[in-house]
Amino acid sequence: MAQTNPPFMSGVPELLVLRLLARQEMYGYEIVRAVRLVTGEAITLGEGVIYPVLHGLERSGAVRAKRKAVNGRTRVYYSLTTKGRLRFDRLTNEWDRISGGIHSALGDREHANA
Amino acid sequence: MQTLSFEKLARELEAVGAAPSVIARITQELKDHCADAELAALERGLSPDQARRQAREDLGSSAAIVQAVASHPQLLDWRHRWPQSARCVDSLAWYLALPAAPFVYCTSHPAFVVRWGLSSSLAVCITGSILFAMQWLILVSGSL
Repeated sequence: MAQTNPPFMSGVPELLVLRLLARQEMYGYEIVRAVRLVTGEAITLGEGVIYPVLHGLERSGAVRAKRKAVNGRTRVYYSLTTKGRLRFDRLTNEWDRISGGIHSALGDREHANA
Repeated sequence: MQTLSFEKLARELEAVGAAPSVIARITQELKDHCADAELAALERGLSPDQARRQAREDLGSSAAIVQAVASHPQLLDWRHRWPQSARCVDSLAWYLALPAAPFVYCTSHPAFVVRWGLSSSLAVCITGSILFAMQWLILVSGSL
């Protein structure tokens, strides 16, 4: 069984979903597979958790849902809206700032150990 | 690991106050997701039973899904989103309903109301008669 992610990963699924939807519209199962692929399986979501994230983003106007019939099956495709793109930019900047801070702190620790 | 039950999940989502439309959509999408995952597992060579179990396990626990829904207030129904407003509406509804309560009760229990009315009338007659008799006795004894 894949290792689950620690609590500080809160907010990361949203960022990844927005990143993937910025490229192309996708449905839930596709998004979960793509998250595994692009993160080299470093981030493994409980697959069901993606839907509350998508619905939350949809309610806040960041993504748009559209039903489509593909190969005889109806799927809900999600795509990014302009509002979602702005949110993605904001979250990316925030993430860069935080990860930069953490990286810097860990660098200091390595310095102290040396 | 316990596999996910969609019925149990729907009940748990309802308990945390998820909007009915959200519950219906999430469970439907999870079922579709499960079908896709099952198909992929079959293609990887798993037996139908293993594929079904694997697909359900990969969805994760219902607790995680419920927690994810609860962390998005916009997915909850209005009573859970704005509990103070819900309390105000409830209080207002009770305030408006209380004056109507006797009328509603009377129209829904006519036989009981008729019985109660007759009993009360009888009690008034008996008490009135006793008081009248006592008054009369006082007056008669005073004149003697």
